[in-house]
Amino acid sequence: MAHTQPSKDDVVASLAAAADAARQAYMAALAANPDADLSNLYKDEMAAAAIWSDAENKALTADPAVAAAQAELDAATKNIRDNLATLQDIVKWIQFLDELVKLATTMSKFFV
Amino acid sequence: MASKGTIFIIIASVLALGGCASGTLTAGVNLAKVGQTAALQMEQNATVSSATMLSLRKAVAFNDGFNASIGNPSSKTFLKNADEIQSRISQYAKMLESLVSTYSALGDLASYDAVGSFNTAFATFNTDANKFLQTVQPTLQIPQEATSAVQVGGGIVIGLIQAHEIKGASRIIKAKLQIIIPILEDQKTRELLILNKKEIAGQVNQAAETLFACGAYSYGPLMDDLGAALNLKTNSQADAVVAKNQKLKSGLMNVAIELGNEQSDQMEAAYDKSVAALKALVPLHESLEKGAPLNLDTVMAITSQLQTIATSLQPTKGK
Repeated sequence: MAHTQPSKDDVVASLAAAADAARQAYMAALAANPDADLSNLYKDEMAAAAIWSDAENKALTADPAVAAAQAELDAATKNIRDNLATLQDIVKWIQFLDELVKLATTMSKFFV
Repeated sequence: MASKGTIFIIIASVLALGGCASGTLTAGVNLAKVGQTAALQMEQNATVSSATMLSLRKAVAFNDGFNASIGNPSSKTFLKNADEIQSRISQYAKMLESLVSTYSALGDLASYDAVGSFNTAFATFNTDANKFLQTVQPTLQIPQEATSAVQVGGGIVIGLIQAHEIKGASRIIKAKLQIIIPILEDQKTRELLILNKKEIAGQVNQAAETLFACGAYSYGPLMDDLGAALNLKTNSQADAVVAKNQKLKSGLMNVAIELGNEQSDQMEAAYDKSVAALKALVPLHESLEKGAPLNLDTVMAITSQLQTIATSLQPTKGK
């Protein structure tokens, strides 16, 4: 599928949405499992926050692969949001957030 | 030598012009007051205080410690970036602070012909606005017409000269507002100015929500808030009841999270209202310049809404 080249701002917005979804995922997991060890989930959450904040500080290099990477990241973010109300299994949450951080890391490489 | 009739016409004209001048001066004072109040309220909504930045550091420290992640490199990166971004976008609040001073000086100009004070205040506002515009849109070419200062009058008929100065002052403020407003309306600027604030609030709220989820806070304030519509108040056993009931805890936790989301929405609303307030000032400048009456209702209503939002964002809600 062909993608339109996103602007730097579109990408920063995707990274911000991913960071927000990661925090909501952590909070949903905490609400469902207040006594569980959520440290891996938290590390993913902060990794997403760090990637977003880094991107906000940098400029984007024009690269056609950005659009595809952005679409994948947005899909992962949507998947997390769709599961916020129902998913209680921490292992599943960690899988989702690991994937999100991986995609966000890919996106962040487009920033110089 | 002028005849009696000519003298009468001259006196009548001067009186009529004096009346116009007096109207302009009154309008100048009113516009200055409303502009100053609006800009002050905008500035208060835009400022992220050093206390908030300290709260962020404390919250991330707590979140790291709670999750056995002390020294987490991502947290350090995030804090460093949040500080840098905040420092860059603090120019927005600084520009609004200078706008407050400019409107205050416009009031002085209308009240006692303080041309020098106005020119100094406007020059500072102009510099701060240009720095802000360059921060958010580095490639923007800033028109120079908006930078010319108000000329000092020669004093044949002081009121007329002063009215002329007020119109000149109004024109240069309006010209600058018309440059700033489209930049502030730009989605990119909006995101840049709101996102970091939301992210900071999100981290601070997360620490509070974690403590809440673990039962460290009283559940009373949230339950009282929920029961207020029916005039219901918690009793002394309420916290113990909730502590033993996971469904109640989950429900209240969800309310706490929702309060955080509401805060985030309010930050967006505060930004949008600030832009609306700046836009509402422009027609007031136009009315003043044309000598038409000022309708202050719109800008006063928006300022009042901004004040309500600022109050709702004060950290007083029970969590």
